[in-house]
Amino acid sequence: MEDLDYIYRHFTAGLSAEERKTFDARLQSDSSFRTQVSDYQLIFEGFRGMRQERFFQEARGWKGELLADSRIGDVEAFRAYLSGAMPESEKAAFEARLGQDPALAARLEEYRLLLAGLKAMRAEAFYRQAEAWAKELEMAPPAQAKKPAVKFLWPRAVRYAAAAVLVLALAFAGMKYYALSNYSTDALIAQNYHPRNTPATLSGREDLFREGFNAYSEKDFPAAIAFFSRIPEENPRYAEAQLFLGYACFESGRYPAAVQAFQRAADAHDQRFSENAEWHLLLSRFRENPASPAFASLLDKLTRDPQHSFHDEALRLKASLGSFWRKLAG
Amino acid sequence: MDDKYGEDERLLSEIKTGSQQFIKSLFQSYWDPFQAFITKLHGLPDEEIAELYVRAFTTFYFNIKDGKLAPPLRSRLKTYLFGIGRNYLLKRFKEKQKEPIGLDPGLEAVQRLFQQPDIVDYYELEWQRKMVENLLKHLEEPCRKILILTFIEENSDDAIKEKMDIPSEVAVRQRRFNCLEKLRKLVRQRKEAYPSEKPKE
Repeated sequence: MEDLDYIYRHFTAGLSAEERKTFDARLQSDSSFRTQVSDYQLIFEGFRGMRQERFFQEARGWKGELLADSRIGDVEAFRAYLSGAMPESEKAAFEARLGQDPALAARLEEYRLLLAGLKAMRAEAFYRQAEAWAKELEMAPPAQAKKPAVKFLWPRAVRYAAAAVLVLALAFAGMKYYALSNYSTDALIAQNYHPRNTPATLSGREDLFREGFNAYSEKDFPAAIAFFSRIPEENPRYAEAQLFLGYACFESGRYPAAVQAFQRAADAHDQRFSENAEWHLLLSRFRENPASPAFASLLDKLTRDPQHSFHDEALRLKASLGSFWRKLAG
Repeated sequence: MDDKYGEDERLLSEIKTGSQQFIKSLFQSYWDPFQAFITKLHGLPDEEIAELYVRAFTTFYFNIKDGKLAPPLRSRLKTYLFGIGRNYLLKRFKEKQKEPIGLDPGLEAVQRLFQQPDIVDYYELEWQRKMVENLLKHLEEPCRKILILTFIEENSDDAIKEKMDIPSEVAVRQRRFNCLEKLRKLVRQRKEAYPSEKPKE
């Protein structure tokens, strides 16, 4: 216990200068002490890593609040910028930010369209109100001086209303286009499809694998599927062959076959390929039916496993699926 | 204490002992300048900058908490945080093999500062973390619990005594050391079974 106390204080910066000297000397001369220190170093570093991970997950929870605050700040900046109320000094910095951040520029454009839409709605409401006033005037006792003035206004009001409706339609079309470009099933799959570029190795005599990979590289998917399918389960490269078979099926639109191949690759439990296979199994199920319980359950599994290589992607995909834009994309 | 960074050194000692609420408020107050700094280096969507920020802030906090960053300071704390963020940004671009990010002359000082070896990378302990997490699963209760309460949740001996109904703080220490010995045996077995399994130096 004495040694352990000593070692523990060494790793938590609790040794005095004198103790440190003795510690270092013993480390040089006593091999069993050295082994002990090395083991505990791993343990205490592991604990430190676990504390960091715990804090990291906590801070991730705070991130949502930051982004919400940041969005509010952005909207205030958009309003000031578009109305011309932004001071010149801030304007230059804001324009520089717009130039460097395409996402911010896109949000500004969306906001501009929304404002135009709101204006159009106000114009439309005004038109309805004016129409009601006109009806009242027609029913009221003759007021000769006013009637011609109302008649004179009609054509202009109609023109405003037509323009307003057009702007509103354009605003909606712009938002719909943005949603489809970024949140449709196809767009989300394109953002998240991450096939391995190359096999683990192409050396050796696995001719079927090599030929399959060559065909896949040349986008000759039927041939690739035929080669990869012929690699038997007892072959050491079976898991990788199933993974590439999955890619070939997926890229050629054979989603049910892709689901089966990725499932087999994941079930082979080869650490090099299983997580990539699981991720693409998820995408294949998503492509087949985004509302299916099988897809939801696998997505849930990946979002709950911070050790999974595709954990971050799974969280992002889940956030996208729950967003306003996804609903607008339909 | 150098007056130039006196304010930051006071802040540093508050961070070391600060409550979760205090750390959260710091996390929120550094966000805007951090976002502006990263946007100046490279335009990224807010969501990605926020992810980068969480990682950078985690490293920043633990470097302070564990004494890796200690007085006398050679920069503002905010600059230190930005430097970590920049390192992660460079790492991210290196991993994705994209074009390197630009660097204006004003940031060169930051770059020089963050080539210092005392920056501990968030990912550096990943191997050790996974190993210890796995070995903890093989440890029986109440050993697992006492180690987690001590080293992960950082409870005091007094709090552990209450939570685990242990008669005294001395008994808490004794049990903790016994459990650490058990965990060490598992480490030894693992190292002997897989001698080539080592973290990257």
